[in-house]
Amino acid sequence: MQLTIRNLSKTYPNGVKALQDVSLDIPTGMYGLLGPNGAGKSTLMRILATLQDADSGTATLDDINVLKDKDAVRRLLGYLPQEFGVYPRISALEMLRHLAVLKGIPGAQQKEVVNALLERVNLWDHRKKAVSSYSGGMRQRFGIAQALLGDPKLIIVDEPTAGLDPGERNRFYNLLSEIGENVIVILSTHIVEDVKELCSNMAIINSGQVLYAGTPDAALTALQGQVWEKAIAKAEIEDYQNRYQVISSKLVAGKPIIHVLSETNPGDGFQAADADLEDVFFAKILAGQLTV
Amino acid sequence: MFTTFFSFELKSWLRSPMPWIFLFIIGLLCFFGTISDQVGIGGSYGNVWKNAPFVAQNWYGVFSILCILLTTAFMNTAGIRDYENQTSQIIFSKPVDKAGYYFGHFGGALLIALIPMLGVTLGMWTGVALNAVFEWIDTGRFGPFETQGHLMGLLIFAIPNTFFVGSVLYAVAINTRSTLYSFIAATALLVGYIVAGNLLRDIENEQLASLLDPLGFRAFSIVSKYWTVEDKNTQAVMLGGSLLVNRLLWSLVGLAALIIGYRAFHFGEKSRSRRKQKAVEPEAPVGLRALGVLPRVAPAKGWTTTLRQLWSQFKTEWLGVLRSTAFILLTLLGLLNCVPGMFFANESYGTHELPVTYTMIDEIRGSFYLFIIIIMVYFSGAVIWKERNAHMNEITDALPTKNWTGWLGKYGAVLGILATLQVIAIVAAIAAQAAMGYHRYEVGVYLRELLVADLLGFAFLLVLSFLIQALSPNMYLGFFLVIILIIVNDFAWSALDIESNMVIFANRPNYTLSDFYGYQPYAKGLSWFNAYWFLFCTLLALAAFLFWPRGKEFLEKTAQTRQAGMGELPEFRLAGPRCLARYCRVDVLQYQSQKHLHHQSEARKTAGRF
Repeated sequence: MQLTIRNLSKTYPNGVKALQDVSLDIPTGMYGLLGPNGAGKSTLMRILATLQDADSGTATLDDINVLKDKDAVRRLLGYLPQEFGVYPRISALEMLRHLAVLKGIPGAQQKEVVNALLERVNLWDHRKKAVSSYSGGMRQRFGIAQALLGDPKLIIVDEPTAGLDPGERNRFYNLLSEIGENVIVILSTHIVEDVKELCSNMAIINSGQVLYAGTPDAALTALQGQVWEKAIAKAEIEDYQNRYQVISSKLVAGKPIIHVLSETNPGDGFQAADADLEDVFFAKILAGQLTV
Repeated sequence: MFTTFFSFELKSWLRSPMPWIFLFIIGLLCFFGTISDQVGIGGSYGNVWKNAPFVAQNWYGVFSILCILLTTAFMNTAGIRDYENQTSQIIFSKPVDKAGYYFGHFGGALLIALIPMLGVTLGMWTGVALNAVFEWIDTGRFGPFETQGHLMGLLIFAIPNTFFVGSVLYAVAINTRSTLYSFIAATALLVGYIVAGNLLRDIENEQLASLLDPLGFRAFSIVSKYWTVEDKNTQAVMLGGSLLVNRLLWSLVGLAALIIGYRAFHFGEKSRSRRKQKAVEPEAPVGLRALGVLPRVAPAKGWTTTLRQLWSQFKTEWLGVLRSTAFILLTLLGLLNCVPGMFFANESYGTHELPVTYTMIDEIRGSFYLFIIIIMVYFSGAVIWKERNAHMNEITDALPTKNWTGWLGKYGAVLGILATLQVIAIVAAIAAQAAMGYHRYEVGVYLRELLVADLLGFAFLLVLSFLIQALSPNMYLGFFLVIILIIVNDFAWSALDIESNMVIFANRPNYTLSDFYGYQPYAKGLSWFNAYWFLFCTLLALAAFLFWPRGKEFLEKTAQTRQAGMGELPEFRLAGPRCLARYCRVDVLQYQSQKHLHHQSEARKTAGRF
């Protein structure tokens, strides 16, 4: 299984360029799509999930044309949108059964599949309750259960951990990581940690453009020895921004610590920092902005 | 604080098209009412000038009733805007004054709800002015330009009625926070008005009856009962005497409702959602652990799968409607409106007749069908928008289902609901007959008339409603367009002197079912027109299918995807030739139809002889 995306572009009627010439090769395993809000992640995912049409470009899943042969894609697809609701007054069990029929699960195996999924996402005890009464984490697990119907080969989850508490996030990762190695799982997020913990491959996109595609390790190695940090006073931030390539500033116990990018030691009290994915993320976005 | 919310309400409506569209529609109706004799508003006024103060005042009365549903829409939006848009938590956590919030929004919506009614004045004055130039009808039928009737119409009907209705509905809307309950309250108000009107008809004391009419019509007609044409041409009914008492009384009732609503209203989340949140008990945290293996079942293909999908979609929608509060309440209201009439249907002009099947069917058609149409309009929108309203569409749209199973499943479900309603009506009618000791139950006639002939008519309307909702960017706009089309289809053609069943949507020839002749001589014309509208609706259904909302950009669908959609339904390729065949048949049908009219008049003559 290999998902090949070539020169995909999409411009909305209001002129927003959501995707510009996006090309990616997505192998099996977990693939992280990292980008700030509004980067075009959801547009890309909806196009891959057959819900939106691209203006130009191609996407193929092995020999299936994703943009044309929607029905074939839908039979291989498991999709968890960024936001979803449920019908009122319908229990998780009823809802999942209905979705199983729509997915095309043969009648004989339907019960087995639905029950196994509910067990698996730890909702069996709550199966008779209305999904609309679920907490955020339970609802998200229901979401992944419906996405796993029909043994999908391409699983797309759009910002699945937004709004989940740390415990629920762990459970969710646990579920995702168990899905299997022979399947493509595309996970979009703006949380760097998600990618770090789960993904063997990743891409960073911003303003509809791919800024980086490869393994997280390669990205980290490339940046090693180039990130320097320093604790400064709040009033100095602007001054430092003018003098250095500041890739991020964050507060530690109320005091700002800045990370700057430099091939050599900038001196001035800066200390070498271990580059992490967040630095990669901000460095790529900064580089993207500088070239535009 | 009051002025802040008041002006916010005004501004948000003045920017929206709704008040202006309705102003235009009412203006247009009154314009045609002024310059033609085909459009009658509130009956005929004989020799009275067409722009007499009495006529203007009457029209304001008529539109103040027709505008009840409109007022509901304004009040409902004003009452629940912050809940619908989920701004309530932001607004209510500010130091907002409850009275300012409550009465500010109400005041703004009240003022806006009066705008459409000004169409009476606008339409009538434009009509008079233009007729002076174009002389569509004799200028001698118009009197001088006057304002008194319009002012008094506003003062006696438009303002107090909108205030009364608006107060009640606003109190309901803001406290229930549900569009559904607002419309149910409005329907209850309308039905209550009709039922009360029937009951009051027998009251001996005219004064008491006039006092109890919440919309002031009875009091108005008592004052003007003995007016001559000259009176009607020159005067308006002034606010005084029993009319003043009536208007004051019902304005006070409105005020009381408003205040009761105010006391019940509180800035908080709906209590029901609080209960729901409690229902979820926290789970024990679970760390990483090995999980069981899932059975690997891939989706199947082929006709059996498709048919199962179709069936599941039909069943989910059908049961969803059947279990919904809206359906249950609307059906009960409809029965409430219809069943009492069944018991009086056998009395006419003081004589006592048997409650035979056709009187029962007439009763159902007269008083239950309004509700069937409301249910059809509401639920055709609700089922088409179901996934999108529940934010479930991204999940369901990405499932491997065919577009046509969704279409057909939903269409079948609503049609099934309408059939269910007809069955309920039939059971009620037969029960009423049994209760009155009439035991000749003609089940076959009921089934043929209500479940075949009339249901077919509803099936045609339903296709239209589906097409509009499929195209509409918004469910409420869809409702509005469907209702407007139904009204225009019912009334506008006659104004244009068009009475052909080939043009009036879903219209079939009138017929009389006779114990002697059955459906003869109408059967042939009926079947031709049914076939004609069936074919026409098939085309509409195909259009609805092609524009079936799926994915994020159905309106910008490229020609390519549309073609892909066509390929899905093999029959579509036949539609072209079929369409052609249909129009070839038009000539034949036109001829048949004319010939048929001739037959009909012959038949009437024959019937007269018996």
